[in-house]
Amino acid sequence: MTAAIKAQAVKALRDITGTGMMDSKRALEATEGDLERAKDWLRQKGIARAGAKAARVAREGTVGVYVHHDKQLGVLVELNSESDFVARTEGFQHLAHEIALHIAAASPQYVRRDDVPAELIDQKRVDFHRQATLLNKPSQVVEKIVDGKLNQFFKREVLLEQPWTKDDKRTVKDVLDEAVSGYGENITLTRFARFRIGQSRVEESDAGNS
Amino acid sequence: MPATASPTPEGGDKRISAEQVKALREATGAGMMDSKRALEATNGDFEKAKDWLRLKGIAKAGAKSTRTAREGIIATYVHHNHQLGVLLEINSESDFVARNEEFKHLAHEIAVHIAAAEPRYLRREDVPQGVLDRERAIFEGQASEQKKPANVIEKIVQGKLNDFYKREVLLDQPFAKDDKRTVDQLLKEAIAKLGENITISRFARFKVGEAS
Repeated sequence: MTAAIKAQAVKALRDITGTGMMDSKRALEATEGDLERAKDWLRQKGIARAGAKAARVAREGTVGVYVHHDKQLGVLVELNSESDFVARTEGFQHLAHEIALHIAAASPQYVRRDDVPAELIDQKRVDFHRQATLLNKPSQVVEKIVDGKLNQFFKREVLLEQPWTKDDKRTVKDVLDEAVSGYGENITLTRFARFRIGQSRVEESDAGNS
Repeated sequence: MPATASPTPEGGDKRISAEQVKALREATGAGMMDSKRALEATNGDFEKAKDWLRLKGIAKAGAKSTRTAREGIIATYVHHNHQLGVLLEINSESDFVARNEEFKHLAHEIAVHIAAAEPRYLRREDVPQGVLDRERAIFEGQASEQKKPANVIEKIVQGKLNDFYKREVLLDQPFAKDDKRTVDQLLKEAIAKLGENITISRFARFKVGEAS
């Protein structure tokens, strides 16, 4: 297998661990090209240092923050652009702050639909179905009601699908899309954290069951 | 906002206690009578009572549940270039201590510490078992390469695991401004000074481009 170690893999390992080319190549050869095991191998041999941070994605952007004046609620959000130039514009920083404010007010649980755990969606479906069958409607109507309720759930809990607090005719995604055409480069909302005093355990259990 | 909504004692019913009604009200935001009816209809089963309320259209699906009676503040730190931000929840027992200047200062200092020291976990228990196993395997590999006897190897591994905690776990980290104390010791000093329990319940640290 040794011949199969690609130059890209060696470069990736070097970038992550900061080790030399020959060491990185040897590590990949010893671990059949498995990047994670190669990292461990280098540390075991004392070549790479512990705590080498995860691979950095070449992303630019800004961190937006909002804290309510009574300090009972705080939001942190990461908004990314392609270029440093866009990330540093005042408009971009302002947008990050506006999004932080929106998150404070609208309390989403997830950035995008894909982030909602599949089990939670299944559970919601079962719940909505049970509620809808009580109405004694034909089954295709019940299905429509369930789909409608599920969409409402996404609108309530998923940031990108929420109506923008400052103008509820647009969603947060619409606002981002407008920024994308305005700046002429891709803009993504990568992650957010929303802390409210005394609610930390609640959020965990919300994700788990509810 | 202190959670002081005291329950109007409703001792009338046979099995449903006032505490149950209060818990259900807090979890669902439903009124007292509805909560009581829900519990009666479900023989006091809390989860079933929640479903009952939702079936009747009384409780909203997204109702944010149980407020714990913790006080505290949210502290933040943002680096001037906006490339790094920290959010921190620190709790006290009373609103009074949460508004104390010294408490606010402590919160800010810890937020700055998190920015500088890059902890990944709050406490040791938060480190996933898989991560620990992987670290342990590496340390054992390192130690055995040095051809030491088994009992020495175990000591070396323990020592290295402790180093790992000191590097990655907030409470175990040496405080950035004074590395003779850990963050945990810093909290203990504040507890002694302010006279009530103080805990950090969570933090987030965002550096642009570092999201997994």
